[in-house]
Amino acid sequence: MRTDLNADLAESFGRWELGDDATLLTVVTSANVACGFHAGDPGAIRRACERAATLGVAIGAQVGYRDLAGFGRRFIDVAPAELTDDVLYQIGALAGFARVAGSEVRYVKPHGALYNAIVHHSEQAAAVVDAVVRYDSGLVALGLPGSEWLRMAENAGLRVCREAFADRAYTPEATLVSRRELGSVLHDPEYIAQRCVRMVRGEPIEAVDGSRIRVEADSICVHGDTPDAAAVAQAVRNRLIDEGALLVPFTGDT
Amino acid sequence: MKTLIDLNADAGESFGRWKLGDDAALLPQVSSVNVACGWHAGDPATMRRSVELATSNGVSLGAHPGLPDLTGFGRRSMALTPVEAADACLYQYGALRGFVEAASADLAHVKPHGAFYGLTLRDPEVAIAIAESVTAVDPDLMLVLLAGPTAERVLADGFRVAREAFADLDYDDNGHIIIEPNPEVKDPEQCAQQAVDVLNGGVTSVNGKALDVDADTVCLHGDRPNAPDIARAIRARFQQHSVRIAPMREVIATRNQ
Repeated sequence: MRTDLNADLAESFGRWELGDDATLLTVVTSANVACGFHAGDPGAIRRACERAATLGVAIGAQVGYRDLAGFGRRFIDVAPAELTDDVLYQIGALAGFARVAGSEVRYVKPHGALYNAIVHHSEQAAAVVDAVVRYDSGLVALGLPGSEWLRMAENAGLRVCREAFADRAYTPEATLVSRRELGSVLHDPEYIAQRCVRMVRGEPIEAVDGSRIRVEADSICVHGDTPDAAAVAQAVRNRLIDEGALLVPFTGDT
Repeated sequence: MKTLIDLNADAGESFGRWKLGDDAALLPQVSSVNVACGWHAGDPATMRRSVELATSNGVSLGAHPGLPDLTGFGRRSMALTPVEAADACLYQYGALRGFVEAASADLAHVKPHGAFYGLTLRDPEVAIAIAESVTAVDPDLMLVLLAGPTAERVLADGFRVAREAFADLDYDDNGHIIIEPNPEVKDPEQCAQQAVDVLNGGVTSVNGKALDVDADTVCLHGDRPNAPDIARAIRARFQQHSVRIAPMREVIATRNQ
């Protein structure tokens, strides 16, 4: 039984601090490092890369829309060619810091509204895939199972990694319950940890309506941007290890 | 000892997902607030909420324009010409004024932020250019500048100037404040003592040099983690000395009598 834990890192920006990167990097095996468009200034990116490299945590590019004020959480109708440039720019920027830290970028995970958009938005999904393939076809695509992003990435010859969310409720169709709906985010660390163990074992978990569903995932996403979330992430890691799971980066050895 | 002073604080310095400062706790403690206008901090929603919060607390409103440097929080010096500085100031003032008018409130003053404030100190031409640009929109508008030669010069040119001193920052031997990129917790009593020193007409530099200060308003920084505690300590000390806190317009009107 092996799996990977991923989380968003380097989400501070200049004077504004967000997230407990130092703690989170001791919890996860893969770090989705913000690349400056929605969060992450050069200093925050450098620090995250240095810590990730030291701890053997795989570095991924968390590329987003260029929208600092909206934290990349608002859809932007970027023309595909521009989006390809935006993604290339962000991967390249992060790669510089990863390399200097003695590591490298191993995968790409779109952030926020871009993540959500390319579940269905074929043109934008293709634009992101195009950027990744052009930069380095050895990079892995991390995203939502069943998304256009992963389907197109696979067709383009990229390795893909499907992720599940530790603290999110699922519909009976095994898709995420919208954040706008009540009960979309789970809070009980023990419940969440047990749920993650079941997912990793390939056992069914409970959907929001109480039905049993299977969520197939190669990585589990945890959060660290609130003290509660960091506690959940820690509980998930501890329980998985207690149950004998091997936590290794989904990209392989770093 | 002066017995009438304005107490001002910077606020509205959050930006989107990133929160900074405890404005709800700080604003009831001060008489004037400087609201960030989007270039160094403050997104539109934060600006609207800051105006609403100031209005509901009866605090006098001012614009706090910064240099175009979100990453550096406007605390890194940039080389702006006087014309560029005036345009930057007017642009941000106008943006904030939109929210202020929508709230049926008044914008009483303009105070450049961080390194922009430092630029006005080093280059009086910049201070004058700013004063000209904003008073062209509203002749009653007050410009907040560090108490000292530049402020006196702009004042002598006929502009309304609120001369400012700092409770929570150290001074160098030239009488300039030493800006901290990331303000840390500071002893509230020490800040309160410095505020009292200002009212007595002098502060001490970091090297122990005595500096004369003639100020109309005392500032503390909203992004200092214990800013509300500092404000409370200053208020308590002012009360002991029977010093009344009032918006800078009233302080200046009294000064001119």
